[in-house]
Amino acid sequence: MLSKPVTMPPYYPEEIWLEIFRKLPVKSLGKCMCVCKAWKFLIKNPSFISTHFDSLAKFCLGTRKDLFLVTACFPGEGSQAEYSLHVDDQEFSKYAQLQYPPFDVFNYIAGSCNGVICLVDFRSGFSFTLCNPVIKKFIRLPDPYLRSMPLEFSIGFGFDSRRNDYKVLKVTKENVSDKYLQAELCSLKKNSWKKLAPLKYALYSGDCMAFSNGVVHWIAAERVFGSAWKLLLLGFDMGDEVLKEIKLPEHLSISQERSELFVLPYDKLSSIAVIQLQSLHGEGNVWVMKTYGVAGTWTKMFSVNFGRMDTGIMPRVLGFRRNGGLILHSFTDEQVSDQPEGNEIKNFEMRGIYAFVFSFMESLSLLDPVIGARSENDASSSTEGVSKQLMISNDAEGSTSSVLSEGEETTGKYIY
Amino acid sequence: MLIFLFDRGQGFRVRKIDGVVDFEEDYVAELRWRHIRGGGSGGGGVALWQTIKHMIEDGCADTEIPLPNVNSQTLSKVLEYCKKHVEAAADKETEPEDDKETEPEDDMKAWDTDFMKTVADMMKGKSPEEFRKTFNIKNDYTPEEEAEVKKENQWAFE
Repeated sequence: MLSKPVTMPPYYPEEIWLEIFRKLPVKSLGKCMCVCKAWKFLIKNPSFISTHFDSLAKFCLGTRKDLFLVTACFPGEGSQAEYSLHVDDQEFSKYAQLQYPPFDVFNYIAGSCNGVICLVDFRSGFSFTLCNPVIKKFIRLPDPYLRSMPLEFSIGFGFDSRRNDYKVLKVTKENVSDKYLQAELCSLKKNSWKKLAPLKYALYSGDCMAFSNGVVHWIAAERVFGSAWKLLLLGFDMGDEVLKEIKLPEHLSISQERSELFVLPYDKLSSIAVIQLQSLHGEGNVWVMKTYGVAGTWTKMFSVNFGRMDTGIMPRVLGFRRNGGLILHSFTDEQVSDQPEGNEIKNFEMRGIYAFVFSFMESLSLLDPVIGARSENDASSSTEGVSKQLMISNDAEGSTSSVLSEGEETTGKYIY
Repeated sequence: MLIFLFDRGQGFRVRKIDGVVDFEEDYVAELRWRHIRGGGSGGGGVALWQTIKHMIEDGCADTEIPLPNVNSQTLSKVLEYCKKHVEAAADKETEPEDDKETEPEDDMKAWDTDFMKTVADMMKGKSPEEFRKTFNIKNDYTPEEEAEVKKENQWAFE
């Protein structure tokens, strides 16, 4: 007989169980938590949750499911939306339909990362909710300082892997005469917003930002030589909380008539892609930064010719499949996935006037998050009362340097 | 010191024997105390070995250690695991110090991953009750607590 009490299941000690749990899908882990207290304790641990996600993302191709979150919406009076998860397989088959709150009403999706979706409800200004649809956990974020609807806005959602924290960046142009954009950042861990230094750029569009490599990206415009506008890509690092300019492929930086630019994550190379739609020629170009952060590696990956656009509305590139195919929205109430190699176009009938697609992977994120924590660092910087300067030096790819000051929460002074 | 694990018809047993013994017909795997304890990088083999070691130190294994709750599928995997680690450790010992040791290390890692994956595959799709039965785990939740934890994790059963 054993004289020592066995707290963990016999013969397989803690490390072995953790190693095995890391290889289990999310739903199995939910059942494991019901087995005994020790298992629940091991699984709920935030460091287990993040290593579980990493391990599924990197190694366990059998367990891992590459999914897409598809939103089809019918905006306008009594706006409606449908949310569903689809598998990245041949048929783009439906994996789950999300029908429970907050998916029962129209919500804007600002992004998806680590299995967490950021939803924005505009019915009464900005109201943010983070949600893990697999474990059905929702967390309402506090209200930002600037809550009313601005003239223009763009929202980014990302993850600060160093602090294990989800963050939302909100950039707005409040008034017509404003020369600067207002920027606010929310941290789930701190459960609060902070004002960032106003940005000297103009917003190019209201598209949500693309999260890749710990950075949210969006297209901005800068006035040069009087009335001319130069387009550029901005990246805000969710970890360092610094802004950087990323060079666009040369001829994309000039704003062209009947041409539209937007940025999407390109997960296959953990980089970003810039899509240029030229309705004049019915042409869509996809540029990918092959090595993230190196401007010299911008490559035109696809060029799709849609022919003459009678309606004038170009099919929109919504995302990329792992096999290299594109997911397009054709504006005839259905989505189309185009596989450029075979020139084969498959229709996946889906309703909706607008559609959005985000990569999604199941995770245990938000199972037991730390909210409202203040680290020592944060406490000391907020008591200083003087805005802290964060200098960004020239990047390897030669983007220009910019200075972003991190102001005190309400009365920061900004220096450029 | 050598340890033998073999089947006696009523489950698997571990026997501790001093000195070198010829391979018995029930022989499944040979474990070398020193090698396993020193080998690996905190992987599963060490942890499993420590469990057996504790049993030996507790004096409950003078001759045999019963392992009644390990089924043949699990144990054959465990034995394979131990054997693999012993072989890797033995290889390591015979190699000169300055030789590259990365290859067997990587090989072991790949093997460990495969081992854990096998167990993980055995676990997929099982209910909490089946987990407890398979791995002989005591349910330490009170009925109220169990109802609560099942409610919290309702999403896993849908």
